[in-house]
Amino acid sequence: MTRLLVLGLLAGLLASVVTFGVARLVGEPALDAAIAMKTTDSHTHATDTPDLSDTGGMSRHLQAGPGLFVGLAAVGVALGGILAISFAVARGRILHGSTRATVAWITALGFAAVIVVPMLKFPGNPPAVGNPETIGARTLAYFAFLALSLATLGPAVSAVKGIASRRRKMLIGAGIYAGVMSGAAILLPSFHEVDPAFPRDLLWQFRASTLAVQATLWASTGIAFGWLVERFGQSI
Amino acid sequence: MTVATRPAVSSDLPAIPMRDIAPWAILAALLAVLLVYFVGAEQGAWSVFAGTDVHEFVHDARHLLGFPCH
Repeated sequence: MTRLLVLGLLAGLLASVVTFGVARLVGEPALDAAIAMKTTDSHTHATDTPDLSDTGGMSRHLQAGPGLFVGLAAVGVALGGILAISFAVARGRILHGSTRATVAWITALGFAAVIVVPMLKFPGNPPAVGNPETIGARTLAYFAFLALSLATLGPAVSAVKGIASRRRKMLIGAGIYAGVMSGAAILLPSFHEVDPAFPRDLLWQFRASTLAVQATLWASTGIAFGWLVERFGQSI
Repeated sequence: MTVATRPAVSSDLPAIPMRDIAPWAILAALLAVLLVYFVGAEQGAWSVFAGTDVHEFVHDARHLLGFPCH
C-alpha cells in the first residue's frame, strides 16, 4: 500500500511537469490576452469595483512561472495520491480487469465527475471576468455541485453491481448519475457575468485551454501511474 | 502485506484489505482537500491567511485549472 501511494504521488508530480508545458503553451496566451483586456478596461472605467484579479504587486513572470508550477504540482500530487488510493480500493473489489484497465476506468470516471460535469455547469472565467460580489455564492455552489457529483458516483456504481450484462450495467449507472446531476444543475443558480463586450473567441479559447490543462493533468497522471504500477508495483 | 483470502475474479492481483487502506485514505483525502482549497479558493471567497499573496502566487494555476473562484 505504501509503495502504491508513493507511485501515485510520483505519477502526479510527473504529470504536473507535462501539464506545466501545456499550460504555458495553450493557457498562458489566453490568460495574457484577457489580462490585457482588463488593463485597457480599467483605464476607461476607473475604480468602480474592487478588483480581485489585480496582481497585487506580484509580477506576471512569477505568476506564470513558479506560481503556476507550484499550483499545478500541488493539485497533481494530490490527484496522484487520490488515484493510488482509489486504485487500491477498486482493484479486485469493484473492478476486475488488468492494472492498466483499472487505472483507465478510475481516471476516466474521475475526470468526468470531478472536471467535465462541474465545468459544464460552472465554467472557469479568465481574469477581468466575474463579479466580485457573487464570489461567495459562486464558490459555494461550485463546491456543492462537485461534492454531489462525487457522492453520486459511489451509489451509481454500487447500484449496478449485481447486473450481469455489461452494457445494461453501464447504461443504468450512467442514467442514475446523469439524472441526479441534471436535477442539481437545474436547481442550483447559474452565474452569467461575462461582459458582452468581452471577446467571445477569447472566452472560448480560455475555457477550452482550462479543459486541455485538466485533461492533460488527469490523462498523464493516469498513464504514468498505470505504467509505474505495472513496472514497480507488482510486489504490493 | 497480508494476502487476501478471497482471490478476485480474473484479477491480476489480490485485493488489498480495506484496513490497510483506510488510514491512508483518510489522511490523503484530508490533505488533498487542503491543497486543492489553497490552490483553488484561498483568498477568493474565504481567507485563512490575510492579504492576497497566496491567491496571487497560484493565480495562473487557479485560472488555468478552471476554478470558477474569482
